[in-house]
Amino acid sequence: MEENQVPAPRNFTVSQDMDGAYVLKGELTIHDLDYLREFLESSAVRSGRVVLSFAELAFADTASLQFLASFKRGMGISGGLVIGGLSSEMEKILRISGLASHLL
Amino acid sequence: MNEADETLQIFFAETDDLLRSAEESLLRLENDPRPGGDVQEIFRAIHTMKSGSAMVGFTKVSEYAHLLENLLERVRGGQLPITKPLVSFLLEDVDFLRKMVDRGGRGEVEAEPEVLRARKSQLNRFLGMDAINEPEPPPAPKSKTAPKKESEEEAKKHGKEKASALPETDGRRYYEIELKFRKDLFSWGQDPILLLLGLEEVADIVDVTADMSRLPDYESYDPYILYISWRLVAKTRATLEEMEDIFMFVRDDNEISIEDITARYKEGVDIAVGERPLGEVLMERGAITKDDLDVALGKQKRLGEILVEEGKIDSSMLEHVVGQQEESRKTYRKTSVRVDVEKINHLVNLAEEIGIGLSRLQNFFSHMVDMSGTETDQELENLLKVNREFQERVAQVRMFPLEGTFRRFQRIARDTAFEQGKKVRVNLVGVDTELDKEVIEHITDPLKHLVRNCVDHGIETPEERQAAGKTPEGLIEFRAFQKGGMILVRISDDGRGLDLDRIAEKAVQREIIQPGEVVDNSNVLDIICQPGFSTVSIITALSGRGVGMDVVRNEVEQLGGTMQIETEKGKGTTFTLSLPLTFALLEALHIKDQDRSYLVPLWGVVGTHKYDPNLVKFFGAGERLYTFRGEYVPVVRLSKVYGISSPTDQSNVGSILVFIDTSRQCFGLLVDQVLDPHQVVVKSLESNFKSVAGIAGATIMGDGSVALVMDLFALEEMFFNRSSARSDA
Repeated sequence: MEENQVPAPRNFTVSQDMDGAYVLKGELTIHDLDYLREFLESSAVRSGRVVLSFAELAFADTASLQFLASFKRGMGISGGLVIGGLSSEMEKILRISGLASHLL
Repeated sequence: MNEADETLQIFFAETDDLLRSAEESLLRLENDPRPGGDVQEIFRAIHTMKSGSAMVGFTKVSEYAHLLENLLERVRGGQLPITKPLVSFLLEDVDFLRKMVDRGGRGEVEAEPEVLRARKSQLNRFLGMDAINEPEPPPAPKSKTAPKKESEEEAKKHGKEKASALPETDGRRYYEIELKFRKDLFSWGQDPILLLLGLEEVADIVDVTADMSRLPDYESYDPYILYISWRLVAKTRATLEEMEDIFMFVRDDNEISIEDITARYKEGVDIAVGERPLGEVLMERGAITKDDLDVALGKQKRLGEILVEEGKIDSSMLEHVVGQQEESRKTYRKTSVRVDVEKINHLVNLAEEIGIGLSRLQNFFSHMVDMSGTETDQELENLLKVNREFQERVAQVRMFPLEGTFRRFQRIARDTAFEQGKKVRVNLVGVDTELDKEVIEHITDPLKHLVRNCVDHGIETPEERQAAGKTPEGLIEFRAFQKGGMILVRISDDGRGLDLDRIAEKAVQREIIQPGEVVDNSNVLDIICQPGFSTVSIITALSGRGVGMDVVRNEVEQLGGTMQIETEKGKGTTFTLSLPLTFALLEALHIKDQDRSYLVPLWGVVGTHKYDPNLVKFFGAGERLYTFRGEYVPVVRLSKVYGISSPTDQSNVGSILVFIDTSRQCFGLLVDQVLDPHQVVVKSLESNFKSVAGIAGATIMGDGSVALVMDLFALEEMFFNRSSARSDA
């Protein structure tokens, strides 16, 4: 996304829980990728390991999941990106898209 | 067998051993709940499985084994007490891992995510962690053009379960769908995940692979390009056109292919996949490249190497055991081969055809010249003999020992007893007894219900047993042995026995018997096998599972078997199932009556006798009994039983009596001729023509004629329901 492009209003938020996991909430779409990339990269630089929780995520589109798969691959297998709790909606999305094995 | 296949086979064999060992340790642990050797053994088995499954690509198995290992670590460290619920849970885990490996081995997803998640939640509870929070799913997006998928409720109405792993062939078809979208699909406002959610509304997605091979390095990744393509298999009632409609808005400019693969997807599994190496399948699906495969194969470590590296064994031990295994596998490969049952059935049929051809040839020659003693006659005799042996040998291939089935029952008995706070010891006798694979498959469920019934309603609680002067631990015995041409499977318990007085009371209420009529071992089975019959003390809807004794008996009788019961109050109950050795071949006596050929299964024939009017006694309303081996046996002409009109002036002089004993009743059939015994392959009449009462099937005889194979149990019913027929004999 171009730097001057204004992110679309989001039904998506990220917060950090007490264990340091990023809790994604709402609906994650292509419009949130810059935002997502920013904190993923900064978090990775800080700790070398990023933990995400999908427990409160109701939807993620293909672009965002594809991005997360790419990020996970880029982080390498050890440490890297770890996805924790799953909402039932995300469970379904990952199951029917075949992306569970690439992300979990 | 190539290397990948061999690795998999080794993994399957190791898994089997490891899980069996874990199961045995758990059962011991249940009786002696102390951390020690058994916990260590279970830990070792699960740990080994974790590494092995990861090596062969069974990631879910490995993942779950890893979690289990954490749990066992806590048990080993004494942080988690060994309780009965924990042992039960771990025994279930053994089954769960076994199932996952079986599914993986069949090319299916090792475990459905929801099943795996539920299992993990349970495991977390043992670890003292909360289960995963599961909010209600949002309403799924609607597809305007797509047909509606059968709802869960509708499915229940049709008697089906949702997302069952079992094959469903009731009008559902399997479609292989390949989705390769244009790379700028996102900018067209389309999203594959929305399409897949739409697809899920009309079909069960039973297999899916996301091909990520085009995903570039993170540095060169463009979030606005779609890199992923998909291959999936969907099961649905929708037609091909309806399936295509789901993708109607992306059909142009994208590569969408939908193929009906129902024929190939045998029993819900793509039979082509199992025969090919894992790497090849992954490459075809775009999950890996040839380079990826070569690199992985180069890196692949064997279990022994890992164990040596971890210092668990030394290299000399490894070499020794690997050497022994090599020898064993070489011998195994030389001496065994896996064959599809269909191929064996085909061989059985071909052998039958050859036999028929040879008999016809012999028949043909004998009409031309006097064949007896000629070289041709001898050759034909030899060929017939060889072919008969060939038929028997092929039929033997279908035979399997009952050990595996009995072991499963042992476990069911143990689990059921545990759930109810009862104690049972299980004895297995005759586990090497072999039965036809198909017979085993048919009897497994009925036997399972009998086992549960024994524990549920037969075995008393330890307190009740002690009060009755018995040991607190009940005994259940599974025994199998051969008797004549049948296999007898006996399930007995030393429990409270059936309450015959209560059964009699209930039977009178339901007008099954007359008031005052005695209920004993000779008629109790008939009573409790009445559909829906139940009492408080003798439950025939077994263990609340909605399967009645009538269903159990019907299943056994459909196999050509019988069921008996012996019960004694306070002493226990024994169910005896008498089952045919095999479906493939039947030994039968060829008889003729009114120019029709029949085959009487030999197991039921107790003798033949030339009709002698002096031995006939008349009773009641013209009922005829014949003196056979010192007993009066009711007799009737066969044609009467089947309702075929016979000549009115028939005197029965010259007729032969064939005496049948079904182990329930004995009766005699008057026929014109008794010919030779034959070994035949029975063809279903139902599938080739229609169901005929009293007839189990048909076969072609050597002279080309068709002979009908009698269903002795149905015939017995027809015989004794024809009081008028008996008087007409």
